[in-house]
Amino acid sequence: MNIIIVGGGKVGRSLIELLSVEGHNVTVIETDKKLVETLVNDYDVIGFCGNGGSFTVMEEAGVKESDIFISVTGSDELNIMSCLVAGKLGAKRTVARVRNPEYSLQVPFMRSKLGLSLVINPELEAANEIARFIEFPAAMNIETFAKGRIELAEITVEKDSVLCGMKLMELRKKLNVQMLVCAVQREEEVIIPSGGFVIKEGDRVHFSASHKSLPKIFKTLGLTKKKIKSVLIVGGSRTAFYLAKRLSFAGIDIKLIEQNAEKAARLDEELDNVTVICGDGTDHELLSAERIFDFDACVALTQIDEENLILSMYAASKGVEKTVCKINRAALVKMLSGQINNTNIVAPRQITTRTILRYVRAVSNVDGNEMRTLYQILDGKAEAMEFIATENCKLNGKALKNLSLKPNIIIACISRGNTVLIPEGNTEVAKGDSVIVITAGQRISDLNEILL
Amino acid sequence: MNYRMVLYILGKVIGVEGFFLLAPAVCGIIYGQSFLPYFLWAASLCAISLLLCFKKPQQTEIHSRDGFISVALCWIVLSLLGAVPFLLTGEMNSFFDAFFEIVSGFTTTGASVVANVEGLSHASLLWRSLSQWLGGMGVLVFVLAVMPKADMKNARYMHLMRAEVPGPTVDKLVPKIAHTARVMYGIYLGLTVVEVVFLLFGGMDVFEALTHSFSTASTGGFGIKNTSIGGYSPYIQYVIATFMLLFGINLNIFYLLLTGHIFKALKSEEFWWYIGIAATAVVVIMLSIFGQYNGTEGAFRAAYFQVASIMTTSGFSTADFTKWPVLAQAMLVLLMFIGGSTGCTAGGIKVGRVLLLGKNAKREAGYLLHPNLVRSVKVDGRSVAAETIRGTTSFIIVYIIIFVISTLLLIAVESCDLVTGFTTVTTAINNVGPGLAAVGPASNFAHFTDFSKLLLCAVMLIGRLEIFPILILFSPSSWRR
Repeated sequence: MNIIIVGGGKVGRSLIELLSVEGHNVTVIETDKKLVETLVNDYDVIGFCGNGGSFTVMEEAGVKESDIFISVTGSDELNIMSCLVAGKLGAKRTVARVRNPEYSLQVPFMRSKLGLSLVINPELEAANEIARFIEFPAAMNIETFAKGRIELAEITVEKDSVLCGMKLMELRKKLNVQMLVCAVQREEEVIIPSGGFVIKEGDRVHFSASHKSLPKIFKTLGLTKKKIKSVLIVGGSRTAFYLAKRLSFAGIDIKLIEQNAEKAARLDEELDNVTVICGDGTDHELLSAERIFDFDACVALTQIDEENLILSMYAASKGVEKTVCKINRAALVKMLSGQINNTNIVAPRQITTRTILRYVRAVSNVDGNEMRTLYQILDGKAEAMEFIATENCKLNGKALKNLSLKPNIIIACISRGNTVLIPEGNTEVAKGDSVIVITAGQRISDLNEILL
Repeated sequence: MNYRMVLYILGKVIGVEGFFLLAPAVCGIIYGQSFLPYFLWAASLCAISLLLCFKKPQQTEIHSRDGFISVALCWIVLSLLGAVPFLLTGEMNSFFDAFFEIVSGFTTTGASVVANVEGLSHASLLWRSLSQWLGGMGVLVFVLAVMPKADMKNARYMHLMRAEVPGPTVDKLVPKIAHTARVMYGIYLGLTVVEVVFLLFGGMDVFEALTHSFSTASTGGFGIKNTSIGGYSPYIQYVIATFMLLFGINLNIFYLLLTGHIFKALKSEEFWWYIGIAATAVVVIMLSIFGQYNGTEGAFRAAYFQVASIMTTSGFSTADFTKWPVLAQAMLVLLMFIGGSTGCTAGGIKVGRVLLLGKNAKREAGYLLHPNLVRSVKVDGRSVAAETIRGTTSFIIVYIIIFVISTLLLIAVESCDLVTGFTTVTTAINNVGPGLAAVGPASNFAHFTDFSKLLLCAVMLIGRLEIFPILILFSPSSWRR
């Protein structure tokens, strides 16, 4: 597909990287000449230097022939305007990043009347992701497939877990649960395990299960923690606003600490049922006074990554069971992965990238590819992909044990109509099934490619 | 430095050379001449390539430095290996002769050490012309064009392209580098085929049409006759001259024309300067040589052909221009330096660079007149980045330094006259072919010593790769970690 990306900032850059590797024809428009040069040197893309909202630049970049036009510059207005112009010039689909909450109320209008295909609000997306962590406290990460019927959950194996020392082939018999361990990260290495694999303490385990059986599995594994009823949010950013609104709606007690008095006052006006405290969220005295140790969860959303990190560690040390930490710099996220127990790391930019990628992939599937969804798991070292088995799929009608798959590939789950099959040796794939495949260190674009 | 990756790229290049060597082998079979040397050598190059490319490096990332070093290394190895068939067939006895001949081929110079070209076997003649065709557009660009899709991921091959394709800035035509390379070779091949058809129409046989087209397309200039093009009909002379001029135009313009952007294509300043310089030169030379020819047509044809040949740095000839008036000769030497357009197979400094420097000089004069002047250098209505101007200026300075040193060295070793020394290096660094005096179109380069031949090989490579890759390869700091 021909994709045009306006803005070569952090989100733009990671989009460029991932989309060009996936084989799309990517064109970049960016005002900073130096940046254009590095992008063209680093990735297989073509670059144009200029204002992404300018008619001539767009025409030169070939907006007419583009399938998707993505605008992720720092300015909401430029993003909206360039998408409008691109749409009129003939871009088939347009995607804009719009972060101002005042605009986000008119997203439905922008989509229906202005013809924007997707409007992303990074703060809102981040808030939604944090809310999911709060709602499922035990999981580090949960991705959904097959319209929500299948879940791919990530857990960290603790010392006293029943999973410790368990051989995978015995897992189902011993625990009587319908789950399949499909990827394990042990220290730096990502392993796609076979039946003889033994789980150890400290492993980050991804397993697939049906949505319905997930609560039971969490219970069997001893992972069910008490429901989170109170949350302390530090930092009154936009993300905090969306998060507090959503969680308080779900009946959770929220306390929000914000340093700026004006901001705090505004938050108090806008939010009902939320206790807003004006003060320094990194002040030890204040935190004790507000009884941080009584909260079930703590979310650190200040502007400074380091502060958030220290805050999360402090909260964890005070016995807060679940902490969520916002990190803006992508490099830090990579260095931190899995370092702190019970802490989820949220990177708004990565979330934006992921949302756009998911959209682009969905669009390219319409254009003949059968891949439905794709998630990067374990910090991008492994990928989970959902395919639909077509008529000429070579897997059809053969028992999985008779298939010879490439190394580091596993079929994690199969969904047929409303039933979810957790694969066993005798399971067969049939036409029309949606098949979830996990791979490490390779990218496939067709289901047949998983065979040797 | 990613040594594994450099070796991998080298392996691919050797593979491409092996593949192209099959053509002379087949040619040898057709003409019933010895084909075994070519065939065996092609097979061994393919084997070496398989060995080097057997395992793809884990780390495929390359940076600017790896790009320059791979390109320089590839071209030297390519020439060393390409010289071997001439020795195997026994047509050349000295390694230096064979090396000079093939470097002259790959760099599209077209200077020869063979006195009697007609005495060479068909296979060797084809290999000479084919080496020019491959070297013209660039062997690494070819590798990129045929590289499987899976190999193109995650690697930064733009560095390779930038180091090999001539011009102050190198831009892609389409987002994907492999696709760009394919478009470039597509246009190149297409034009070559058109020329072959035109030449066949003019009464050449298939072998003649192919070899001449290869040498024209690459603006190389290896002929297969002792008189170069002089013995052919006026029709063929016009066809070859016109195609030389066409191949001296920036490929982007052909791409724009093919994609229907006619106005955008005609807006190129460099294109009009290129046409203008060529037209002026034709008129000046025609007037100056008028007395030596009978009739206007003869003088025009000679001037047109020679201007096309020298300006695009091909080096074919229809007349011995060493016998022309000095004004005509000086004009030709000037054209050697200017060269063709950027982004094509021609050598020389390039019209684009001359244009940029001229405009920059005008601006500098403006600064002297009005110390507070604000003015940018504009080409095609757009201001040129300061880095591009800086790069072009330093290119010219290094170019002059290398030119002067090489000329001094050559004159010192050969103790030849100044015109010979000066034009020999001119013709080598600009990849033209013939020079003046002792290296005129009627003479050859066989009389030079082995040292001078090696020196000229280096100068030709430096000229073809636009100086920096070779300098970087041999500067010790590039090899430090």
